[in-house]
Amino acid sequence: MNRSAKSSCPYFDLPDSSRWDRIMAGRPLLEINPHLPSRLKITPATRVGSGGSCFAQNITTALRNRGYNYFVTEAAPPFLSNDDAIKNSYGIFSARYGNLYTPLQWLQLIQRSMGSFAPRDQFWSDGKGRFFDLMRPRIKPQGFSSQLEMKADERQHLRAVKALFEQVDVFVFTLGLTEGWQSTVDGAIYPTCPGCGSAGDFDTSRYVFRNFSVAETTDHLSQAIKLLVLLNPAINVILTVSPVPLIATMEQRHVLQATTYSKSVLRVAAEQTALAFDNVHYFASFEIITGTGNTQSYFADDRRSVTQDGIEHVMKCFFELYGASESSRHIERNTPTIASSATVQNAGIICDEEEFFRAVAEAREGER
Amino acid sequence: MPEVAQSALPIFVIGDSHALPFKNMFFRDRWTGQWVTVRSKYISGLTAHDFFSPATREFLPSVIACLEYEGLIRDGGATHLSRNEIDFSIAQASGLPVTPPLLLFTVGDIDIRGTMLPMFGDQYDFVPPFELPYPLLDRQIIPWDIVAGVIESRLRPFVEGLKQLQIAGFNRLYVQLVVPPTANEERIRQLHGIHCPLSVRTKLVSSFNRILTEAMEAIGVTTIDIWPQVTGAEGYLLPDYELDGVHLSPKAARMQLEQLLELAVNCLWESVNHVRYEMFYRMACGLAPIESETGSVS
Repeated sequence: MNRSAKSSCPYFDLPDSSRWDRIMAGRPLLEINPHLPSRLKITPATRVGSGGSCFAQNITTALRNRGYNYFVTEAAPPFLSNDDAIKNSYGIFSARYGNLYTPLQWLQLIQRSMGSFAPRDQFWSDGKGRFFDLMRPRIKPQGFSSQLEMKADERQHLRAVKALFEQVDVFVFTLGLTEGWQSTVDGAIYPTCPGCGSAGDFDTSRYVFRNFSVAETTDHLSQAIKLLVLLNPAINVILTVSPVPLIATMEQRHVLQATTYSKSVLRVAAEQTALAFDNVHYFASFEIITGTGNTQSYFADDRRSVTQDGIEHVMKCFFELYGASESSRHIERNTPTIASSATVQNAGIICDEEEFFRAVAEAREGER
Repeated sequence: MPEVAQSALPIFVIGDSHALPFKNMFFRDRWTGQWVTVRSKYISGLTAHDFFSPATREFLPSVIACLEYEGLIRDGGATHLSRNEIDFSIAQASGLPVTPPLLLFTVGDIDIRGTMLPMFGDQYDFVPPFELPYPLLDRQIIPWDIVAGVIESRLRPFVEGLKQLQIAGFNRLYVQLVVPPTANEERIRQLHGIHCPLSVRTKLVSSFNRILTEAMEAIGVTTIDIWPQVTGAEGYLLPDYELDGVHLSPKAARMQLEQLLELAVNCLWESVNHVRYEMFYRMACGLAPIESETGSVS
């Protein structure tokens, strides 16, 4: 190998960020930020919304705590106590859609807000005078007091969702799952399995288990982005994959394998979508928690819950990448914004999935 | 006429400013022909919430003061059931009836206008779980559980207070349902500095009344409801009964009294007062009305 051939090797000119030995090996953990500089910047004036799986709630909290303009279009009425606001699922996300686990659920939410999709199997009564919206089964854990109230609430909710997508500058979507339950009637995807735990009657003729492929997931994301751009041509979307493993799988395989499959699909779909759309950006939550060699301190003893240290690392990277300087954020904290209408204090992560399995466990206890 | 007035059946109307239209009413009951007089007491700013304190078990002082002024209670007890000589003398001297008094309370409007109206303003609507004729506006929905919770928390002290009165022996208690709100939107803006649509205001009062009625039924207190007579087909207050944007006309007040008397006539067993009967029986037998503490007859 002569000298000129050696210098022409493309690996020799790689930046440090491309080489593990320079950017990862031996580096203090908190210095690891697996991103190249982003052209997307979030300033104090930027309206930032969020949605997705349980992990997405950390972004809500972090944005609020750091004085960013967390954009809320379905805020708690100001006279509600913090407890009542949380009981009614205000302040968890930009609107009261609850957890959006799969990209298809997000897509269908956008479609519903635009009036182009109305699930035919959406509302359920427990026979005791309480009514539930299967699209957001835990939005009111005790249910609505009447069908009329539930439908009126949904109408206003979808209006708030549409306003959110029309007006938000940056929407952060956390991809959580590829597994879900779908209506055999019209393809509506549910956040949790109907009839297991909180609401609905399980019926194999009405609900079918789905584990979406890369192609399907990418298609769902792509359709969602296209609709968002129709509503709001200036919107930017940050996609991130939740590092939280599946709580359970319906596949006939070990839950760890199912988790790896699910997260891999989501990661690839996010990548392909970010490559396909200029206004879509990828943020590496999944990599920070699972790939920095620190899984023992970034996961709790259950090997599933992300610890506060892990969350702080993720959010540190997020704000380093997209954030405004401390001084400008200080000004923001003293400036009322539309987000200030949502004064709900964070009450921990509200996770439909966990509530669902808790309810299932309780039901089993009851049967014994 | 003075004798007629003195022997007239008193109805004690106690409450917020909705007690005012009853002032000085004097009329013949259409069922019994008996003269009826209204003794009304307006307690400024009285709310259901402040009527009684469940924590200290004490009534609002002005409620007690009013009952004392009318001679209905003394030393913490109902005078019509008292075996105390002074109470009996006072009752005889002031011509108080032998029967338990008819008491009508008017509360709740300030709880609604002062607490709930500002919550709703022009921004929110709600859907009660019962049928009402009012339209649902294109507003953010306040969950019914929250609305009901606020109403119940406002009413709880009042309900507890009425229970205490029942325990003390006041068994002829009536509660006026909150009257339909004015249809005059401008008047509400003037009075409260906010706009709250008529449908929302009326729905709020109807919902309040619904919960109030249930609470009263649960403790055996009768409600006076003239909504069917004073509201039109769409469920709103008819102009004929408007007075000033808050209160109903004296004509409507009279209608309420008629209803109360009709209900009272149909529940005459409630007017039984064995304590007084025993006293008068003793007097008829030539005995002192009150047995001495030693048990001897004077």
